[in-house]
Amino acid sequence: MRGVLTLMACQFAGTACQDALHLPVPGPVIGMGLLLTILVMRPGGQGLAGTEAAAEELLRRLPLLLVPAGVGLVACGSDLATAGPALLVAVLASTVVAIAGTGMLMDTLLRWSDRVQDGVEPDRSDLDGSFKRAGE
Amino acid sequence: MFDNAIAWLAAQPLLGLFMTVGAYEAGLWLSRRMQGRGLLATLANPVLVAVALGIAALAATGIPYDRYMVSAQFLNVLLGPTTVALAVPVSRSLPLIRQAPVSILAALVAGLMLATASAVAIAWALGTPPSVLLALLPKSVTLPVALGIVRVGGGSEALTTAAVVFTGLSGAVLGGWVLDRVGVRDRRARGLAVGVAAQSMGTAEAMCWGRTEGAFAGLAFGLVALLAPVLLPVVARWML
Repeated sequence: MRGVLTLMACQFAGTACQDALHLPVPGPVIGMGLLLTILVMRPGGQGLAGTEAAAEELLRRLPLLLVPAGVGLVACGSDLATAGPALLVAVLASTVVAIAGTGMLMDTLLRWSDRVQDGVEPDRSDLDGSFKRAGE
Repeated sequence: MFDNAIAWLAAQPLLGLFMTVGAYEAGLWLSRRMQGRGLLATLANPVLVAVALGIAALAATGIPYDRYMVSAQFLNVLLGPTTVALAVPVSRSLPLIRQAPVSILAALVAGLMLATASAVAIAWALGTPPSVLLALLPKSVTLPVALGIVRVGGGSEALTTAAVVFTGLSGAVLGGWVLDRVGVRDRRARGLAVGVAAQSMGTAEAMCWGRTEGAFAGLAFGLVALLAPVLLPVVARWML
């Protein structure tokens, strides 16, 4: 349980920061930043193995943890009836726009930065061709 | 008789937890059955199925959401430590940044802004009230973090859940096709794009495309989780 305790301690520290400094950032996210700092500072350090195991265990169960929030839709029937279709269109269209835009921008930026690095292309290879789906 | 049974059920503190785990197991079972069936496999997302079953059960029995949450809220509380736990996968994908730090960060911030601003602008143009727009703001952020953001901002957690799940689904289903259409071939760009726009669901899809795509999607969605809570309140103040 020590791993879970570390995660909870990070969250408490993060929430304390949020409340003390009146930040718009959620406490758990500050806690994530805190744990990330610890992990980067001492990679593979002793005592962190338990934390990593607990984190992986929780993340494996993440989908289950999300269900109650989603079931809450039952309580916003009127909002959904009026705004539902508009939200659906907005979500769908903006996702397509964001994927296309981000992809094209990153493509252009990488072409530029690969050229700057003078041909040192780290990861353009087809080493993972075997992972490609049939028909692609 | 039937009403009595429902009243008895509604009085059981365990009900919400039992229902949620049961619905989730049903969702897992269905998603395993649908594996490899293309669009059906994506739609049989365990969260989506479990949420639909939970809503159907509450609507059919008339048991109020408050009663359901008596024990189901424990799962909700665990979202906090799980958000902290995201630091572990992020710390593993972080070294990828060194490949092209400026490009990655620039594309990440621009992509997040684009996803958010376009969603809010379209919903606003279609006449959505500001209170609902608030719930739409963190739609491309991984759900535990998105819920943290709406809690701070005071929007509807349920609407945010719906927006995030549909964003993830549509990104996973349409991502590859959209990127082909606009001619993005670079594996790193493809992964980053679905990671930014469709968080963990996009990342899961990118992992099927290849190792490079999966790694960059994971990096993107992790960094969005860290950056969005800082950037989105600024967007909110500017747009709403």
